[in-house]
Amino acid sequence: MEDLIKRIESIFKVLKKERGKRDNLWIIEVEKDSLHAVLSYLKDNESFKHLALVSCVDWIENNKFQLSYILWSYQKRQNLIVKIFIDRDKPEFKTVLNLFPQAEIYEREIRELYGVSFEGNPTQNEDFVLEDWEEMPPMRRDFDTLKYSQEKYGDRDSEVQKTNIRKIISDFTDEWRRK
Amino acid sequence: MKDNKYFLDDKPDKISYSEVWQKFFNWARAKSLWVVAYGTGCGSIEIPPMVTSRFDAERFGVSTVGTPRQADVLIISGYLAVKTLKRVIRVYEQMQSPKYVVGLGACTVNGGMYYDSYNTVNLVELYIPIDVYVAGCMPRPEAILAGFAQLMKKIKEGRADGWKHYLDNFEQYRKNQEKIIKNWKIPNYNW
Amino acid sequence: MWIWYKVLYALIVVIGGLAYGLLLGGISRKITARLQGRRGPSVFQNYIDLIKLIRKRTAISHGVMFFLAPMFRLLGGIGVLLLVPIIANNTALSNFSFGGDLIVVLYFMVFGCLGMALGAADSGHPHSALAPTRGLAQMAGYELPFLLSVIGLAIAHNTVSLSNLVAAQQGGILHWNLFQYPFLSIAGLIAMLGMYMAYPFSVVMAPQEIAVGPPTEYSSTFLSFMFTGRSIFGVGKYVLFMDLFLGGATNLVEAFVKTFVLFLFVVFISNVFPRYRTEQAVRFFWTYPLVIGLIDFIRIFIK
Repeated sequence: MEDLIKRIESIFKVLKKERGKRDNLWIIEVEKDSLHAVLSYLKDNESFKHLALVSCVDWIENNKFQLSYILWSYQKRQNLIVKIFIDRDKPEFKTVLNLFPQAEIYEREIRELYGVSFEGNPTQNEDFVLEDWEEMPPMRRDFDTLKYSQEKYGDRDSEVQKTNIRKIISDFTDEWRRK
Repeated sequence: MKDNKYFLDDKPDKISYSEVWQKFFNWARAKSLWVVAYGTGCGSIEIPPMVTSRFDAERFGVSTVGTPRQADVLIISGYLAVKTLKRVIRVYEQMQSPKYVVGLGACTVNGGMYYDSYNTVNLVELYIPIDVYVAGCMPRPEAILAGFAQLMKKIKEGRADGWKHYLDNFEQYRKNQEKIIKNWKIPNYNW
Repeated sequence: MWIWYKVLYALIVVIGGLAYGLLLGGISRKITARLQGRRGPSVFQNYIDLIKLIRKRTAISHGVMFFLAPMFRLLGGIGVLLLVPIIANNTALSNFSFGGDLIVVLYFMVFGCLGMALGAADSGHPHSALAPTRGLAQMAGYELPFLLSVIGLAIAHNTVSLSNLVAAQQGGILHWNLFQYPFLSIAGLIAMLGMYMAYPFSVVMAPQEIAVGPPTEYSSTFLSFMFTGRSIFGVGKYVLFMDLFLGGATNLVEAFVKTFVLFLFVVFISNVFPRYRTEQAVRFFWTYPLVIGLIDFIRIFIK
């Protein structure tokens, strides 16, 4: 797997590399302009033919969105995660539909849940799971789900509302871990 | 055809019977509950054990049918997203009265563990009338059968009148539904 | 005066047939449950279902044919039950059987199915429009061996009257058509399985596949009519097959026993077989029962 990373490094600029939790899982970070070239190289020359997932992470502290492209090679039985960072204020990127057709549905999902638009994806504005959503995309971290839920679906009047149930659960698990 | 927005054709008028007949019909209704086989949430996984050999709901006259037209009972099995609620209301309005709704699990009572989710309806009671709640996350098939026994008791006593409430307060229910459902059109991918 | 007695007897036969048919349905549900290791509903469950269905309300409308279809179904059922003699040459229970009743019965057996197909196709639901196409295809399948056996018996006994057919089978168990013409009987009984849409040939209703088939859009009173029609039609067909193959009946107890045996035959077969697809069912009907039936058919001609 290190050889592979070295080969990538010899061609492209790799900003950061790290080993995942398994031997056959590596994570590399590349510049966002070179992503298509990297994916194309990996697909054509290194047998990473399968795009398993496109996911998005909201780094609100750094004002960035992270897009991760998780690739799998059937021959080598290796996972490679290629990640890029895009600006949070201007959430736009180009689609990878020409390389991996299955990216269509993932990009639609990210468009709906994070508001990142993918230029060149024809179906990205269709509904994925939410129908008629009008608010800010719900998976962004500055979206207050509790407040939204209370306003839209009505307040449930019970003790659970008043107590912070998440804190109770995390306290409990902390205590359990300390033992 | 009326406006496509309303799936309920019209309000059936109320016929009054003498008390003996009413009791007799209520007894028959309680003894023969047909459940529409429509799973809305994670609780739908508890329905197959309930109607098959292990728990055998058919011995109480509870059997499943494949179409809402012939069904008496709609089981809301777990959390409802806005998207699912739209379909549930459509199924509910396709059913012919008298019809009853059983809410399964904590999510139907008050949102359960999804109380702060952006897409889960907290109080299902606001949108369709629920006759019997079965609490639990998820309730076991025994609990569902106990809920059905409760429903039968209510029907026999003539107290399971959620559908009457729905017809009487139709405008109010519709207002509540339209507060969260903006567009009643169901997209093509449903086929 | 005579005609009023006839009407009275007909009413008794229809009501009795309905009660018996519903009871058979309940027993069938009970047997299925016991075979699956369940307790099952009570045998009177179908009566309760019927009462409930009659008192359900309905706001559905799909045009005239939609409303008429349950009536056709009911008429087909009553027509069959009233034309076959339950006990031949009995004033009360020979019903409206006459010289050529076999031909009219054959017509009535198709009548209900066709009415049902028209109404279901009118209801606009894709499932209920799909089911009649399957049902009519399957009907083309089972009608062939059934007609072969019926025509074979008619030629063999030189009559198209059910009463004469019953009379020809009297005088001991070996005079029954089941033993006189065993291959024709096998063809007819297999066709009967198809008529009841019992399990190997249940693709029309196909409960897990296309909801409930033709009556998908029907509810409340319409469904109760259909339920009634199906029960009466079922009893009528059992009586017809009893007259054709099992030598008819000379008293009511014998009629009950013989129809019950036929009913058990259908129920037990339907509980142990999986479902054929439409074209498999048609292919099956047009090969095995047809060839088996032809053996006797040729024998009749040579004789």
